Amino acid sequence: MSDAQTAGASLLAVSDLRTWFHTDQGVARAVDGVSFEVRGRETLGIVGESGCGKTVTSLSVLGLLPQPPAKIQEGSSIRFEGEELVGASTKRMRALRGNEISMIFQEPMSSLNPVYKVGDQIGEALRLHRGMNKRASRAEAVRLLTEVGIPEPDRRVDEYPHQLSGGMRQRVMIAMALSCEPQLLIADEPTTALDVTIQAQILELLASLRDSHGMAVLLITHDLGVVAEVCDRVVVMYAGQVVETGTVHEIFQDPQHPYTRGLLDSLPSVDDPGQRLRSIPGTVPNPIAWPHGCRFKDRCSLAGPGCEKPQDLVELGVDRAARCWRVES
Amino acid sequence: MLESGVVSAKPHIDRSGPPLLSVRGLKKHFPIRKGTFGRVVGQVKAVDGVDFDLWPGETLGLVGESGCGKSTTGRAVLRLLEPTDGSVHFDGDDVRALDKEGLRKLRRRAQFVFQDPFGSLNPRMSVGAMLEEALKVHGLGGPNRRDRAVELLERVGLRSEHVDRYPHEFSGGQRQRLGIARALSVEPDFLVLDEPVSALDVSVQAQVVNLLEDLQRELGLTYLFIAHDLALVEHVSDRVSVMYLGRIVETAFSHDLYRDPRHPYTHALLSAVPRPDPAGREDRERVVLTGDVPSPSDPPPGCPFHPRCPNPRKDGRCSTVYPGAETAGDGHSAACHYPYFKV
Amino acid sequence: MSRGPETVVEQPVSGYAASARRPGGRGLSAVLPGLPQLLGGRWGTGAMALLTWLGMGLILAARSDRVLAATAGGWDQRVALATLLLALLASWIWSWREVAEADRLKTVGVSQWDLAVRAFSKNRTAVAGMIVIVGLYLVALLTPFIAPHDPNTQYDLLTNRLVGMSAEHPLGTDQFARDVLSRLLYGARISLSIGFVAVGISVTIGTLLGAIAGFFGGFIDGAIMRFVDMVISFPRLILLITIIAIFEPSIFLIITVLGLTLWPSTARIVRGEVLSLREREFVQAAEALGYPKKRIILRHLIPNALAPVIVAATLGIGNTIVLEAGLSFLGLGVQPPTPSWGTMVAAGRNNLLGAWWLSTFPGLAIVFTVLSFNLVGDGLRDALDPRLRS
Repeated sequence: MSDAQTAGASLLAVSDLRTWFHTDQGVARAVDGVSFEVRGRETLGIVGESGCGKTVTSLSVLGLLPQPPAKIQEGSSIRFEGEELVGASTKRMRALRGNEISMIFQEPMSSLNPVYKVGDQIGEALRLHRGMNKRASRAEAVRLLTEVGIPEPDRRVDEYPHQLSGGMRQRVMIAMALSCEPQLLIADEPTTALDVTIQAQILELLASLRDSHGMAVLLITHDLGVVAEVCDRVVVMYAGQVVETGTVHEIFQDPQHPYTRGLLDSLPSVDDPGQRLRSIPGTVPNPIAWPHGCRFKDRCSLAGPGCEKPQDLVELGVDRAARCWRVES
Repeated sequence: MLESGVVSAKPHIDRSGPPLLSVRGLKKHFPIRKGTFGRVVGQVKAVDGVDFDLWPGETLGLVGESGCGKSTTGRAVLRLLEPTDGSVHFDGDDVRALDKEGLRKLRRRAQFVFQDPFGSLNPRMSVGAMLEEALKVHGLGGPNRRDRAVELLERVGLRSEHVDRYPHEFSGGQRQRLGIARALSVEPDFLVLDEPVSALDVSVQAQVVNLLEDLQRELGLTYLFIAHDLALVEHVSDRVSVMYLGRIVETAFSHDLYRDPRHPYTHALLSAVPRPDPAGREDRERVVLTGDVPSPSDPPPGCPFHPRCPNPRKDGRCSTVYPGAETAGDGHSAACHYPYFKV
Repeated sequence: MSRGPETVVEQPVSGYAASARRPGGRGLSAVLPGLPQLLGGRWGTGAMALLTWLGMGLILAARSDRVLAATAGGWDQRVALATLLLALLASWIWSWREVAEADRLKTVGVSQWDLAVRAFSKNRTAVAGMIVIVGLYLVALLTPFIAPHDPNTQYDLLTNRLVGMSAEHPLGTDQFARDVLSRLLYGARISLSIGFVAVGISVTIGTLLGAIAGFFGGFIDGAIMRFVDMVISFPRLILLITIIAIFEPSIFLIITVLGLTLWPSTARIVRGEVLSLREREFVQAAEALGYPKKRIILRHLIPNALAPVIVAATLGIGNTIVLEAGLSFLGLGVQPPTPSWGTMVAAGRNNLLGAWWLSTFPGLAIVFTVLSFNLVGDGLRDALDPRLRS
C-alpha cells in the first residue's frame, strides 16, 4: 500500500461543496461546505454516520443527484484533473462517468439489472465507452471477471445477477467499474451488505486493483475498521461538514475532534472487552435544522463557552485539520 | 438506574445448577417446493443439529455469517418457527410439547427483540397503545396500565411524553429502545436478541448495548445474543457459539474464543474482522477464505467447512466424517478433527 | 455515559399551524364556519364547511315549508331533515373545533392517518373531487327539499311534453312531461347509494376473507383463493341477467348482486398486503408476545393493509356507478318509473336530436361523479403511500 507521501498529484479537488435539498419541510443542507482532495493512486476514506452527507458528497461529484430537489449551491467547486464539474454539461458528465470516474454501490443486487446477463452488462459499458464490438466486449468481459477473481468466468459471463452470491455480485460491479480503466473509483459502502469473510476478500481485491491499475479510490463508509484497513488518508464528516482530516495513523492514534474520539471510543474492541462502552449521547441532528454554532456541541462532552459560534476548520499541519476551537492551542 | 461511567461487576454465573434453556439436536428444515402441486424437491437445512445450554443470568452469543442459521435458531427455540427435530427445554419444560396455553405462558417468560428498528413496530399504533396492548393481553399492569407503560419507557431511557407518539416520530436508536420496552412489558426472564444493534449507527449502537447490559444486571435477565459483529458479541457475551451452515462449530468463554480460536473457521472469521488499528495492519496475520458459503440445501458431506478450510492438516476424513464437538476441560469445544491449539 | 435524552427527529409541519391562528378566528367561525380557514389559505376545507353551512341555510330559508312538513312526512323526508340538521351542526362544530385546536396544533403524536390527511389536503384536484362528492351526497340526501317537482308527476302531456329549459323546468321535461331536474336529483340517490352500499359490502367481505387467506396460508388460503378465482371467472352480466330473469329486478337485488360479485378484487389486494406484512417483524413480535390470532389479524394486519383497500374502494364506487348505469341502460337495472341516471340516459336516446337535454344531463352527472371519485382515489393513493409522501 502506498503512503500519502508517495501519492501523485491532485486528481479530484472538491472545495466548499454545498448540496442542499429543497423539501416541503424546508431546506435540508445535506452537504454544507465540504472540501477535500483525492490524489492519484491513494485511497481516501470519507467516514461518518448515516445522515452526515458522505453519500450525497459522492453523488454530487458524479452529478448523479436529481436537480431538483437537490441543488449544488453557488461557489461550490468540484475539479477533476483541473476540469470544473459543477455546471458541466450532462453530455460531458456522461462521458466522464464510467470512463474516468467509476462508482460501486452498497447493494450489488439492486445496482445490477436483473433482466440482463452479467456479460451483457459489462459489455455494454465497453461498447459504449471503448467502442468495442460484441465479440471483443465479451472476451474483455471474461478477462475482467477473471481479474476480479470470479471462478469459471466463461460460465459466469452468461449468468443472471440472481444466480450469483452477494460477494460475486460485488465483484461483477467492480469488474464493470474497471472496464474503462478509470482514474478514480468511488466506492460507497462497498462491503456493508457483505459478511466479514467476503468483506475481507473484496477489500483485498480493491487494494490490489488500485495498485495494479494505478487508480485512486474514494472509499465512503461508516465502518471505522474498514477505514483503518485500507485507507491512506481519512476525512471525518459530521452534520454536512468535514470535522477532521488526517492520515489514517493520525486519525486513529491521535484524534483531535471530540466526535472522532467519541466514534473510536464507542467501538467494542476485540482486544479489550469487558469495559463498558463509551457512547456518544443523542442522535445525529436533522439536516433541515442543524444546531447553531458548533454542530456537535449538543452531544459533546467538552461543550462549553466558545462552542456557541460556528467552528472553522483549524489547520494543524499538512493535510491535518479539525473543526474545533480547542485544538488551536 | 445506573449513573454514567459506573461499572458494577456482573454477578457470578452459577453453572452447576440446571440450565434455563437447554437445546439438543435442534433442526429446522424448510422444504423446497416446485411445480403446481407443491411437490417437495429438497430441504434447506437452515439449522441442522444445534446443541447448547444457557444458564440463568448468562449471555450466550451466537455468531456467524448470513445464512448460517443463527436467526432461525433464535426463532426455533421460542417456537416462532416450529422446529423440525430435536429438543428444547426451558426451565425444565419441554417447549416442543407445549399446548396453546403453555405457549402463552412461555411467551411471558421468554421474549424476542428484533433487528429492524423500522419494521418491528406497528406503524399505526402509538407507543402507549403498543405497550398497553401487551399488558392487557397478559392481564398485567392492573388498572393503571398507562402508568406502567410510562414506567417501561423511562426504564429504557425514553421520556414519559413519548407515550403518545408514533413509531415514525422516533430515531432508529429510540425505536430499538421501544422494541426492548415492549419485550420487557411482560416481565420476562429470557430475551432472544436478534441482531439488536446491527442496523444502528456506531455511536447509537453503544448506547443500546449499554442499556441491554444495565437491564441484564438490574433485572437478572438471560440473553441469547445473535449477531454477526464479532467484536460486539465478545463485548456482551459470557460465552460465544460460532455457527456455520446450520451447525455450531465452536463454543467457548468469550475471552478464550477470541484469544485461542480452535476451529479453522473461527480462526479465519476473527482474522477477517477489520480492526480500527492502522498501525498493525501490515503485520497482522490474515486468513482470507476463498469461495462462498455452500448452499444449505446441499451441504458438503463430512465437515461442512472442509471445502473452504485452510487447515494444513486437512485430509480425507474431513470430507467423509462429521467431527463431533467435544468439550475440553476448559469448557471449550470445537467441531473439528484437527483443531488448532496454542502451544 | 448512559442514555442521555436523544433529540427526537420530529417532522416539522410547516404552513399548517399559522393559517387559522388569527385574531377573531373563533368569532368568525361562529357566524360563518369555514371562513377563517378560507381566509387562512386552506380553501379546500374552508370551502367545504362554508358551502355546507350556506347551502343548508339557503334550503332552510327557501324551503321552510317543506322542512317543517318533513317531520310528518315519509322516511326519505325524515332522512333529509336529519341530514340537514346534522350537516349544519357538523360544519359549525367542525370549524369551531378546528379553529380552537389550530392554536395547539400537534407536532408530535401525529399518526400515519394524520399525515395522510395532511398530505391529501395539499392535493388541490383531489380536494376539489372530495368537495364535489360530499356535495353530491348531500344533494342526494336532501333531494326532497331541493327538487322543484315530484320526479314521477306527469304534467299536462299536451303542453309540457319534451319542453326545453325554462324557469319552471330548469332542465326541461321528458317524453312523459316529467321534470328532468327533479328526476336527476332523485336519480342521484339511486346511483350514489348503489355505488356506496355495493362497495361497502364487497370491501367488508373482501378484506376479511383476504386477511384470513393471507394470515393462515396453506389449505385455507388455497380454498379461499380458488373460490375467488371461481367468482371472478363467472361472467357478472350473465349472472345478473339470470338472477333478474328469475327474480323481480329491484335496487336491493342489484346492490346485493354487485356487492357479492365485486369483493374478489379486494380480497386479492388484502391477501397480498397481509402476505408481505406477515413477514414484517412487528407481526412476528405480536406472535412472540402470545397475542391471539384474531387480535393480530384485526389490530395489526388489517389496519396496515387498509390503505390500498381505501383507494380501491373509492375507485370502485365510481366503477359501480358506471356499471349500474350500464345495466339500467340495458333495462336490467332499476326499473321505471324509478329514476336512475342510467335509465334516464337510455330513455332519452330516442329523442337525442329533438330533445338533447334528456340524455345529456344525466350523462354529464355520471361523468362528473365518476371523475370526482377517480380524482379522490388518486389523491388517496398518493396520500396514503408513505413512499410518495415526501
